[in-house]
Amino acid sequence: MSSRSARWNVAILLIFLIAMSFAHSWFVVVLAALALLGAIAARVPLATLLLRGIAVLPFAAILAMAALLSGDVARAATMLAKSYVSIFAVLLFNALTPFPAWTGALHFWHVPSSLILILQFVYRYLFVIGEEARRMRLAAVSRGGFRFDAAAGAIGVLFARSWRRSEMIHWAMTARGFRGRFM
Amino acid sequence: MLYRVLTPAKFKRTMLTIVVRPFVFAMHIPDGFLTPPVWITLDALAAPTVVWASRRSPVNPETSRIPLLGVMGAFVFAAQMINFPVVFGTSAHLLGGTLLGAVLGFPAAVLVMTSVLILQALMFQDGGVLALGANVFNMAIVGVAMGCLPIWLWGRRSSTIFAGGLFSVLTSGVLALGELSLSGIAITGGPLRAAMSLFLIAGIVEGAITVAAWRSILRLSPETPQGSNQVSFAARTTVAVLALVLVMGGAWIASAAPDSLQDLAGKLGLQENLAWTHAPFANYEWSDLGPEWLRGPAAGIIGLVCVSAICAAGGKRRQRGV
Repeated sequence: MSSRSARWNVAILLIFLIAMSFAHSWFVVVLAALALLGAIAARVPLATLLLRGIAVLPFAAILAMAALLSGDVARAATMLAKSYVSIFAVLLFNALTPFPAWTGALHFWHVPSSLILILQFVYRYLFVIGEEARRMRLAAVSRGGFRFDAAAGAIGVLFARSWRRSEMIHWAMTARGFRGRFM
Repeated sequence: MLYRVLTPAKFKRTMLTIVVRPFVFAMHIPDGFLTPPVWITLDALAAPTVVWASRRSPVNPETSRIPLLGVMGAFVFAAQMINFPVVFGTSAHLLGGTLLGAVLGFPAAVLVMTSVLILQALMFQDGGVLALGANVFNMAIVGVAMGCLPIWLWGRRSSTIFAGGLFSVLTSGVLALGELSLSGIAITGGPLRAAMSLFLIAGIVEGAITVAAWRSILRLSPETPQGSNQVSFAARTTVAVLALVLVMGGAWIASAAPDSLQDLAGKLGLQENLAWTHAPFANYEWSDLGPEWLRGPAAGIIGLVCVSAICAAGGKRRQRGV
């Protein structure tokens, strides 16, 4: 994926979401159809995306319930539909745009480069440190579960390891000639 | 899988989690619920603040600052996987804003929380993309600021860190409710009380977890920054009393007139757009514009702004060494 097409994908996602936010009720349906057509044209696994969208829906459903309590059914339904189509659009964007490509594309809009770098670092080490946390949790569960102070201890250990790891990352990257930008 | 048979205790726990979790997650506002005036305003507020915060941590290959902040973001994600047992078999996890504020300082914590929220919105569908400004404002900017506030005034101690965790979660929750209410989703009466009590519980739990985590961090890495500061006793007491009065007043007024923020929204014309997007309901709740529009959650928000201003002034004094 070239950086130019990643840029286009970001722009299209934003325009789509903004249009969705301003949409009338019938226009929501048009936009949903558009997203669906885009997904079919891009040959992504459609059922997976649609199901993953539903998995996120309960959180939105709570808010829709609040809207329902405050007034009318039509508005709550429209909000839920808008929310679902927006989630679907983000999922489609995700399926089509690799993470390094779109974060790199953010440079084009003058997003602060330290924010972009931090984003890239978070994503890169998310799974490494997440795996450490998962192992700790597994160990605790096999010992009979965390007590409150044991969980706090685990967080402390995780923190200390993360801190040292960041120092090692810095030295390793400096030694390899990193000057503050990936790619 | 066989070993994950659903025992009664596990079932109860799962049900409680299913019921309680979405309320806490509702702090991540998804797309589709905020009206354009609300999200545009909040995006416009959040963006310059994040740019300001990023100026405080420039990309400099000579220091390890940027990798540190990135790994701290990953740490926040990972720390959320560690469950803390709370009452009745439920569990909760760290949200992290206050802990980051205590360890890294305000601007860096804003930056890290913002990148965590961006990732949650784009990679994990937790919170909307257009609503990102709102979520960053609630949790990464005001939430972290409220978490740092007691620490800033009284130094890093267990009590201040607990208060920071409590304030930060409560503030984020109240702001999210306020923004939804400005968008025409009035949460009043029973649901409002339920939401507020859940935010309060979440806040107390966050405070307790943050204190426990902070202590164990200090034990394991004593080199983490600590120490107190020199704000005068009179200044501290004044701010404490003011904050207490504002919080109590805000809570009392909010319970007395919960739906006045909606009137405020109507008065400011924020719902104009809402009426336009849903033509059949053009006259939605426009009839009773009370004269007491200033009351309600708006008072709480104004109170927060006041406290922040006072603290900014206090910080200036501190820098001058008063």
